Amino acid sequence: MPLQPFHAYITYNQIWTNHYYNAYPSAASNDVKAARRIKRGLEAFVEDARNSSPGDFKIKYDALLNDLQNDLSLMAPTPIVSLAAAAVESRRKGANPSLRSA
Amino acid sequence: MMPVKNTSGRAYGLTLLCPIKNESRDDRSYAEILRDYLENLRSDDASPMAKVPNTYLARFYVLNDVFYQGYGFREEHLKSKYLVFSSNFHGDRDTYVRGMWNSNEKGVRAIWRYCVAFDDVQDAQGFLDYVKRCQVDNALFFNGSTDDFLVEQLKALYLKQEFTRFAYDNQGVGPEQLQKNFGEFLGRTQPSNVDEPTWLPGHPNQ
Repeated sequence: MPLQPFHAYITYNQIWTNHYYNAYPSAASNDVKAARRIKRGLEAFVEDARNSSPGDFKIKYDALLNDLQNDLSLMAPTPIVSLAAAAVESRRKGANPSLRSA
Repeated sequence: MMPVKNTSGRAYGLTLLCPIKNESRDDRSYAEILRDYLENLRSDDASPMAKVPNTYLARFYVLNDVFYQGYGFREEHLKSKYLVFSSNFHGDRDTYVRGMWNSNEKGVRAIWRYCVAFDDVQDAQGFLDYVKRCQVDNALFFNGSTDDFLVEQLKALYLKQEFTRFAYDNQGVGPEQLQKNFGEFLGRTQPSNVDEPTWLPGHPNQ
């Protein structure tokens, strides 16, 4: 299907959300899945490395990082989702001073 | 008959269509007043939904009417304007809805007070009965995330953030110092304690 008619169809039928809440606004769904793997990996590592010598600890730690390397990343708010979303946010903060500290 | 798909594992997708009273105050319809109210709610940890246990994400909007699809289609209209509430959460519907009332009755009343028949709701069971009358079953519900308890998800996200920083800060550190630093990391982050330290629901900067 050509892009423009599809975009026009979606725009025509779109209903704008008046209030949106997300429990973890700086995380994507992949972050939530990665976080579960990291938590489980850490818990298993803590048990496994509990009485290890420093040398063995380092070997197990490096193995843990190797296993989790695709899941490790820092999360942060997206700078700008879209220019329209940024304009809405800016207008809201201007209209409601209590939002400025958010 | 359409298939019903309100669950995805232990996650539930709740959709409500609640008719708004066709009344006005100070020359403004209830639908308009409600829309303004929703627009001005904070969407971070001060959102009324941040207090509701196990809410992954939620949205509210006012549905004015259905869209005419053009020549060849029958033109139809709704008899009322509707408040639409859509929420993704962990667990079963009845526990969640009772929890919604018990954790934030004031917030629930402030939003639904413009809706038909909500005046009769006086307690958690009454709210659940009201919700059942307004619920629209989903034909498809997909949860792209995990279906754990919210506290589990938030603790895991906290650990992901903190362990990423730890791994970055401890590159090239020798075995003795690494083991010592990791011990301090465990003492500070307490991986098996889901209550604290952790992320707050809805907080934008963790």
